Order: sequence, then structure tokens, then C-alpha cells
Amino acid sequence: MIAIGHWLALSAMVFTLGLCGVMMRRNVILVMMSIEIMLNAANLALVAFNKYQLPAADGTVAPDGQVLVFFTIAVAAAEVAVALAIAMLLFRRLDTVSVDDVANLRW
Amino acid sequence: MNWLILLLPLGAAFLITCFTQKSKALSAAISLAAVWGAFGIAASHLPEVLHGEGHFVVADSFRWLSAGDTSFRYGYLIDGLSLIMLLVVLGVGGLIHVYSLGYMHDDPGFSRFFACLSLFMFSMLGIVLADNFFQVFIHWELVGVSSYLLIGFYFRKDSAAAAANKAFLTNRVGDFGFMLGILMLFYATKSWVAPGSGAGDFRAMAAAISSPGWLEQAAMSIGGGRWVMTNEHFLWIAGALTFMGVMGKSAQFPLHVWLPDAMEGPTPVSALIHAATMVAAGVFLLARIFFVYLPSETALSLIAHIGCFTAFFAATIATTQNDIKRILAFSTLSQLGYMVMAMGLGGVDASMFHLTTHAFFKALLFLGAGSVIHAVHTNDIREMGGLLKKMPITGWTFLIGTLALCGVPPLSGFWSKDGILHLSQHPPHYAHDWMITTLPTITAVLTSYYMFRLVFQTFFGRPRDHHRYDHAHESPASMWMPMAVLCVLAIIGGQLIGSPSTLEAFRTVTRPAGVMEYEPIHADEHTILHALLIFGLGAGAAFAAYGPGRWISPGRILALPGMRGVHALFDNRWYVDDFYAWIVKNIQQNVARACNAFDQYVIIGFVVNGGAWLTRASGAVVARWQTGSVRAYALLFLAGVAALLALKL
Amino acid sequence: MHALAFYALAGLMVLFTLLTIASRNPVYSAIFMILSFAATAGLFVVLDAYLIAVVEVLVYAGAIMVLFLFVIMLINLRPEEQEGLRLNPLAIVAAGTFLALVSRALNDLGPGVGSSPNALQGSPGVLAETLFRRYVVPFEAVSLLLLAAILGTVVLARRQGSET
Repeated sequence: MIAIGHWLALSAMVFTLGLCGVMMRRNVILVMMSIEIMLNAANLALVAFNKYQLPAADGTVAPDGQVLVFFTIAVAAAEVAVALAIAMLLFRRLDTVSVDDVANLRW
Repeated sequence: MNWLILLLPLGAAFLITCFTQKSKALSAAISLAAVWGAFGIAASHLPEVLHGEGHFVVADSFRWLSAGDTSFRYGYLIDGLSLIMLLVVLGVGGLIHVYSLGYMHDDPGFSRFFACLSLFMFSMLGIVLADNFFQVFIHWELVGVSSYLLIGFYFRKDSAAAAANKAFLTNRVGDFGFMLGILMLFYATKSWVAPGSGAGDFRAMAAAISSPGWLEQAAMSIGGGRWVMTNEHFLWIAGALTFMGVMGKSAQFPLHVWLPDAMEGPTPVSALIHAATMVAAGVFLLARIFFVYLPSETALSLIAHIGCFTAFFAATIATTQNDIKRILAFSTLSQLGYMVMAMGLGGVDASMFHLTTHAFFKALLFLGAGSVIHAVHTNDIREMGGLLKKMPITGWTFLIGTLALCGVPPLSGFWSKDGILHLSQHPPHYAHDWMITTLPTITAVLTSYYMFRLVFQTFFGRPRDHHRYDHAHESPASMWMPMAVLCVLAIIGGQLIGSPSTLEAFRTVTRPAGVMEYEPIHADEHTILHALLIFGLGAGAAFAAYGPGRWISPGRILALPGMRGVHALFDNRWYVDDFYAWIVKNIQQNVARACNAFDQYVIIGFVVNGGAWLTRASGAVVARWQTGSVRAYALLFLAGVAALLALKL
Repeated sequence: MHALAFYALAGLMVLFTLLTIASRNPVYSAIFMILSFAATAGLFVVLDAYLIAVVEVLVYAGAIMVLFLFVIMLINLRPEEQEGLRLNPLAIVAAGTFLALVSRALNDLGPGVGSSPNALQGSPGVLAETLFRRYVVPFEAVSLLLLAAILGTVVLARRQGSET
């Protein structure tokens, strides 16, 4: 039987991979994708928790985790749309999609 | 109703300062009304006091501040002692207010003078009426401030400003000891006073100190009982410290240095503050808190010896002075020494008696001196002479005052001063102490000598400066009338107050049991002869040197071996002032410089500026983290989250 | 059965994620990401969350990744000259630490979590019941959020008058 720990370990690993992607890629689009990976890993953890929660006294299991995933997906979609719009603006203005070139807020 | 005694002068000071500075008449009127009104209220208690046999008391107070279970109260305590002092302060003060109308008439600071006088009245009355130590201390300081304002009245003169500073600072030294003493007493009696009484309340503390078992109780112990200081020892240290306040205010040696210099102030000020009232505050305080000193022999001995020495010391200096006010100032010092010594010997009633008569004739003498100065525009007696003809009222009242001061019967001084002399010649505990038994008498002879030296040089003989002599004239009525009143009091004051029953009526309710009863001197031939002998010796010497015949020239005396040195010693005030100046210059200034350096380099340089430097430097370091690079930020973000997680786990 | 499905899909998910972040060509990254989402959907099915699985594919793989591809092509991204994934030692250490800590944290689970799965219902009906009964207000809020996102995107991506 798969214990919940397995699921959570998987979720943590994928999250960390997304984290590495955010920190180590120069391309803005790739960074966005990595963020999506992180959100996805979190969704996985949510559903896993939902599946492994203890049932209520009368045996019912509330699907609240899945509802939350629903919302997360919606929010992620909205966030991606706006972020990509900003990336497009960035490209139009500076003709680059490298994160390192946008360092105007130096000390 | 009794609160008005305090409030009237305070109100007058306030009104004059804020509203009537431009109008001389109005300022004077307000100030005079306040003083005489307060006098009336105080005098209304007189009949009851005289029948009270020392038990009369009326008191009131309100709680002013409280901290925890200690509450500081402000109030008044009118008993026999307060009343006699009130009458002296307000009566003599009132007369001097009248005198000032004439004396300060042409001064541009007329209104300011009366405002300061009223402020002084308020401060002094607060000391007299106070019912607890802390109130006394507050008013003690207030009196110091008033004195500063009045000594430095001619503030444009450097010497006056310096004198005011000197007075204030010397008093400050005394007050430091005073405060310590108060705190010690407060600490030692805290658990013995009646609950609910204010902090430092005189009656409560008197009861506490005289309650059985208090003296043996341990005040402080170290090492869980290995070394114990009982209340008895604590008490004499506290008493000595409190006496430091008296030394400062009543100008006892070694805190006497301010009084001669205080003559820079206008003469009414000298008369009021530095002869009759403020300097007497110390003696008054001793009477009030005598319960602190009675159980402790050491403290009483200290007081007696300091008083005795001061009396002698001041008299010697007075013999060489040429400024009329300076001579009177040293005379005051000397008489204060007598009063303090009497306290130390246990003669509380004798001391207060002398305080009262001294107020009368010393104020008279000062007012007379002021009158002379007003007429000839100089203080130096070497420029005067023969003024008796030109200023008869001044001259005769001055002469009577001098006779009173020298203890000539039947004037008031005879009864009070000889009472003290008698006490010193047969002291209860110091029969073998040469200082106490001989110095006061020698001082009395010296007193006669220098006072008559003053009188002969000023009022008799040929005028030395004809220009001044020609312009001299008698003073206006506003000036000679108070002098006349004081003269009458100086004559009859002795019999008026000196009976045992009267002196008993004027005792304080905080008087401890065991104070010796007052023994009035009997006017028998023995005593009268004794007084006349002293007077004769001194006045005779003065007459010989400075009288009309000039049989012995002072120059010939000076030529004798050693006399030059003695004269220099006296003339330079036994070099005490020089000694203090040396200490200030070489010791105190260097300590101050060291403290300043510490302040500059360690506190300002290191802590304050260093702190700023540290902040700026660390800010500069941290600012470099703002690279603008998003990836670096993301990395830092992650590091932060990891750190938080690590902490949480 | 479940175990086999879990390990297979899990492995695929990790593999594809790794390939996503490591590819030089952004289009390759996008494709691998779609595959990763597909694996995730499979994992959701294993967890009996059928509606979520479908929504994952539809929204994530279908809409979001398509948007990514559109943008990649619009800005004409070329494969990067340098190596795509620059191994930053500091980042790896930080990520490793993070992973360790998170694992440690997830070990201490609260009382409401069991170690064996329950009989979860993941059908649309059950989900809808909860969504529109208890969570109707957040639902409406999310729709407002989406509106704001749309408006924002439109405003941001408009060509300015002065720009070419």
C-alpha cells in the first residue's frame, strides 16, 4: 500500500525541481514554466491529502482538497496570462527575454 | 484662612511680575499689602499662643504626590515656634518693605525688587510653616533662589553676579548634605511612623525617634548581622548631614564664605535676608528638628563647636574690615555662631530668644547703614566721620542698636546674648572644654571693639571727606520710621520676650522631652557688671584707637612684632576664600575637564557617533545586496524560507 | 496495482519535469511540460480525483501550455546559445537544503491524516455539491479574479500608439 509519505515525497521533489528551474534559467518564459511546475506539485500534494484524510464520523469524506485544487488551477491560469503579457512587454521594450538584463533597481 | 499667609506673598510676586512692572506705586502697594496682611493673620493667633504653654498648634495639609504607599504632603504647622518666627519674618520684613520704598525709590528695577521680595517672603514663610522635611527642603531651595535673585539684583555689576553665584553654590553644597540627611532620617523612621502620615512629617518622626526601642534597632546590617549599625549611630550621621544644610544657610564655618560677598545686594536685602530672616532659617530648623539631635551627643558637640568657632572667627575678621556692610555681615556671622552654639549646648529657648532680639537690632543696624550709604554714597568708613550731627535719627538709632548688640543692659541684647554667654560659661557637658568656655566671651569683647570702631569712625570725629559730608542729609520718613520702630523693639524686646513663660509659649510641639529648661539670667549686680566689663573692654579699646583723643594709633599696634601677620590673617578672612578658590581651580576644574573628556570621547564619540557610524557602515554593506537581479532575489528568498523552516523545526 | 501505477507515473512525472527545466530549446521544454502534466493527470486518477484529472489536462495542458507556445513563437525565441541549465552550486545547495527541510516537515503530520487511502468520491457531482454549496463565495471571487486577469492582460498587451 502506498502511504501518504510517498505522495508527499514526490510532490516535494517536483517542487524542488521547479525551484531549481526558477533559480537557474535565464529565460523569462522558462522561469514562468518552472513556477507552473511548482504550482502543479502543490496541487498534487493537496489531492493526496484529500485522499488520505480520515473520514468523518459517519464515513463521509469531504472533497475540500479537490475544490481547493480547482481554485488553484484557476488562479494559476490567471497568473500565467498576466505574467506572459508582462513578458511580452518586456521583450518589446528591451528586445531581450533574459532575466539578467532587467537589473535597473540596483543600489 | 491660614493658607493666605503663604498665598498672599506668592500672589503678590506673581501679580507684580506679570502685570504691574511698569507701575512703581502699584507694585509697592501689592507687595506691602501682602506682607502686612499676612502679618495680621499670623498675629491673630498670638493671644492663643501666649496662653498655650507651648502646646498650641493649628495645622492643615493636603496630599500632594504619592508614590506607592509613601505620600508627600504640603501643609502648614503653626505652633509657638512657628508663630514667633512668623512674627519676626513678617514684622521685620514688613518694616523693611516700607524702608525699601524710600531706599529703592530711584532705582529702575523698583518693581522687580518688590516682586523678588514677595517671592522671598513666600519661600521663607514656607520654611517656617512647613510640617514635613520635604516641604522644608523645597522651600529651602526656593529661599536660595530668592536670595540669588536679590543678591544679584544689580546684575550688570560683575561682582554682584559673582556674589550671587557664590551664595547659591555654597548653599548647594550644604543642601547636598541636607538632602542626604533627610533621606537617611526618612529611611530610618519609615517603619516607625504612624501609618497615613505624610513622608517626613515632623511630628510623626519626632514620635518615632522618641519611641522606646528605636535607638537600639538596627538601621543597616551587612553580612547578615555580622556588622550592624544601630539607629543611634545612624542618627548622629544623619544629624550631622542635616546640619550641613544649616551650615550652608546660616553661614557657619566652613560654608560661611558667601555671606560677606552677599553684601553686594541692596541694603534692604542685606537687612532682611542676611541679618534677620534667611540666615536665621538654619537656627529655626535646628529648633524644629531638635528631636534629631537630642539623643546624639556627638552631633550636639559638633554643632556647639562649629558655632563657637564661627562666632570667634567672624569677630576676628570684622576687626579689620572697612566696608560698613562687611563689618555688619561678619557681625551677623558671629551672632549666628552664638545661636548655633547655644543650640548645640542644649539651650533651644536661649537660642531662639537671641534670634529674635538679633533680628531687631541687626535689621536696625543694617537699615541705619543703608541710610548712611544713601546719604554719603560710599560704603567705606574711612571716608565718613562726624555724621551724627547731620543724620541724628540714623545716628542715635544706630548707636542704640550697637549697644544692644554689645549686650549692654537693659537693652534686649543683654538678656539674650548674656543668656548664651552664661550658658557657655557653665555648659552642662563641656565644663572642661576650653573652647566653649572661653571663646564666646573673648568674642563678645571683640564684638564691642569692632562695633564701636565702626560707630566712632562713622558718626563721630572730624569728617574725613568734606565733599561727602556736605551732601549728607537725613533720610526720608519712609526710611527712618522703620528704623525707629526697630529701635523701640531693640530696647524693650528683651523684657518683652525673655520671661520663661513667654519663651515656653513659643516652643515647638515637636520638642523632645529632656531638653533643659530655660534659665533666665537674673539682673543682679554680678551679671550686670560682667556685661559692662565686656562692653567696657571692647568699647574702650575702640575709643582709645578711634575716638576723639586717638591715644593709641592703630599704626603703632601694627608695628608690634607679629601683628602684621595677624592683621593680614584677619584681613584676608583667614584665607578660607583663597583656599576654596585654589581647590576649585586646581582640583575641581581638572575633575571637570576629565569628565568633559569622557563625555566628548567616550559617550559622544564612541557611543553616539560610533553608533551612527556603525549604522551607516552596515547599511552600506547591506545595500550591496540590492543587485537588481531577479535570480539573486529568488535565491535569497529561498534561503530565507529554508532558514524559517529550519527554525521551526 | 495502485502501487505499480503510482511508481510508473511518478517516475514519468519526475523525468519529464527534469527534461523541462534542462532543455535548451524552449519549445522542447513546453512539450515536455505538457507530458509532465499528462503524468500528473494520471496520478490524479490513481487518487480517484477524476474531475480534477480532466480539468488538469484541459486547463493546464490544453490552455496554459498553448498560451506558452504562442508566446514563445510570438517573440521568436531561439534555442539559447549557452547551456540552458547553468548549474549554480549555491542554488543547488539551497534547493537541497530546502528539500531536506520540507521532507522533515512533512514527516510530522497532524492527527487528521491517515496512512491508508479512504473511499474518496471524485466525480463531478460530489465536487459540484461542495463547490456550489460551501464554497460559492470563493467561486464568485475567483470569477472576478479571472475578469481582472483578462482586463489586465488586454491592457498590458495592447500596442502603444507610439511604438512600432
